[in-house]
Order: sequence, then structure tokens, then C-alpha cells
Amino acid sequence: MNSAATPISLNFATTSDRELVASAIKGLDGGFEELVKRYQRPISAYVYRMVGNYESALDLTQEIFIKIYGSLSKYRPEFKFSTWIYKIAHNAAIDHLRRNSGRERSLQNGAESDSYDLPIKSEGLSPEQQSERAERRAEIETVVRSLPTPYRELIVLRHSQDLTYEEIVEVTGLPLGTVKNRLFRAREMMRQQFLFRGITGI
Amino acid sequence: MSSTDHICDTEKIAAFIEGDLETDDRLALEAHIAKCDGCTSELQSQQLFMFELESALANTEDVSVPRNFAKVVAVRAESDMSGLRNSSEHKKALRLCLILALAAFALLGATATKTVFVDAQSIVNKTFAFFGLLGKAAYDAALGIGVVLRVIGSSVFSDSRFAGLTALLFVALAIGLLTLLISRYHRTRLSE
Repeated sequence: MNSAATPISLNFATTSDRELVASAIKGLDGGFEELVKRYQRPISAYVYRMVGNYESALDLTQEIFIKIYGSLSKYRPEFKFSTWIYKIAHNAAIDHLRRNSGRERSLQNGAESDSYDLPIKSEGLSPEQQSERAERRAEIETVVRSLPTPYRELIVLRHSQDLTYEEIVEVTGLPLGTVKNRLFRAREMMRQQFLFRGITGI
Repeated sequence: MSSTDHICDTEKIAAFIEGDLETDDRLALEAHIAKCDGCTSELQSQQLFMFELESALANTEDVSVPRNFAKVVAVRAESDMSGLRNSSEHKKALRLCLILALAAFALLGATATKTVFVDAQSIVNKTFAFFGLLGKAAYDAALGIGVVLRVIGSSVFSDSRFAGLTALLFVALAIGLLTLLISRYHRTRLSE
């Protein structure tokens, strides 16, 4: 790492993930930092929605990237890099939830009263639109958070991270039929929750 | 939506929205939806829900990450090099350490060599003495238990005229009891 991060980032703009992995393994300056820049937002968003706490999500995201760096030599280029890192992130998030299972239960039980603590940017909208948008997002985030982990992880991978069914199968190791069935059931649970909360228009 | 109409299926409608239906099933469902108010309403409801869900969750650009996050993470990761070291590098490092140790040993000279050997010999002697003591203690304990058992055995059987017969009966009783227990175990397993 040196102080000339900006020119290095510009040079890496057209570099593929696989090339960045190769340069990180060789120890070339800036290769891994560029990989972190590319995936920090989706991975932190995924982890946040899995663990439900912004600070824990940032800590865990950092741990995940350190784990990714430590496993770079095991990465096989025939696989999609994004799917590979989602697999590492998924395992780390599940481990975290298992370690803090008591806390997770309290998060789910307290979902009604939990405030939406994810810092978000809402540029280019009027104050009313921003407020309405934030409110709707908070409602949806709360309902997602209240889902049991096996359903929540699939909803997040499919609808937040936009992974295909096949990628979800690779990340979670679940059979395709189970993934489809759980996704359907998760969406049904969410719709029921919206009805129960008296939220119309969904 | 009628429960008797098998095509009015919310899961099938969800699969239709996800583009996950085979052509025949898709065409059949489209034809059905065109004439079923319940399924039309269900389709609209699911589509609206999917739109709301994706617009709320999909934009990961909104998630705030500290400005220097990537740099901090990269520095931390690169300072922990364990993951990138493969076994051949580990072996190479071990060989290098051995060479350095031997070189240091040679450079220390005869005095240091003598000191090292005397210490090593003392440690080996102490280790042998400790294990010798442990072995002797175990042998003495076994010998003691043998003597005690012999005394108990002689006090029980020596005065009895029928000592041999008693022992034989005892063995027969034990075999009988064992057979009974085994057969009962098998009967229980079969009945389960």
C-alpha cells in the first residue's frame, strides 16, 4: 500500500477480478484494495441484512475480507469470483449468527421496536419523498429482519444481491428445489406480515 | 381464487413472475389468468410486492461504508500473510531456520558447544530418571494388588471343602445369566 492510491485505482478500473486476485497473490500494491473497493458495499449490505446491526456488520465485513485475502491462493479462476466471496461471506455470517444465537432471537423478537439504524444516502429526492421512501424501506427491512435465518438469507441473496438461483445454490449449498421453495415461502411470510401490520399497497 | 381449481396456485404464479415456468405451463397459466379474476389480482399483488421488495433491498449503493474502509482492510489483510504461504514456502523457511541455527551453533565455538551438550545430557538424564521412577511405582503397585488378591482368595476358599465346586457353580451361573441377558436383548430388538 502506498500513498498513490488514486492513480493505482484508475489503472485497476478495467482490470478483471481474476487479474486482481493474481496481482494480490503476487503481492502487487493495490490489487487487493481494489477488490475490497469493488465488493465492500454489496458484502456489507448483505452482512448487515443478515446480522441486523450496522457496527457488527462492518466488523464482520472486515473479517470476511481478511479471510478472503487469506484464501486467495485457494480461489479457482474457473468459478465466478463474486459467487466465491459470497460463499465466504455467507459462511461467516452464519457462524456469527450461531455464535450470537441468543442475541439474534432478541433481535427478531424486538423487530417491532427496532429502529432502522442503517445509514443511507437519499440524494435527489424532496424531503417528503425521502421520508416516505425511508419509511417504506424501514418497514420492509423490519419484515426481512423478522424472518427466520434460513429464509432471510435467501431473500437477501436473491432480492438484495440479485444472485441467480444457480448462484444461490453454489453459495448456500442447498438443493435448487429447496432454494425455490424457501424463497416462495419467505415471500408469502412477508406478505402475511404486511397484511398483519395493516400495510396496504403491497 | 377457487380452491377447487388446481391452476389457481400462488406458487405457480410466483414461478411465472420469476420466469421459472416451462413454456407449456406458462401458456396455460396465461390463458387461465385472462379469465380468472382471483389469479389476476394475485398476480398483480405478487408483482407489486416483488417490485417493492427489490426497490427497497436492491440498491446496495445506499449502504454507507467508511471512506477509508478498503485501505484499512487491505492493510490489515496484507499484514497477516499466513494465508498466502503455501507448504513449500513453509518447508523452505524451516530449512533456512535450521541452517541459521547450525551456523549460529558453529560460530558460538567449543565453550558454548560444551555448555549446550552438558545441559542437554542433564535434561535427558532427568527424563530417564523420572520415567524409571514412574515404572517402578507402577510395578510395585501391581505387585501389591496381586498379594492382596492372593490373600483374599486364600481366606475365602482355603477353609472350604467345596472351593472348586463353588467356583464351578459361580462360573456356570455367570454363563447362564449372560445367555439370558443376550436372548432378552435380542427379543426386545425383534419386538421393536
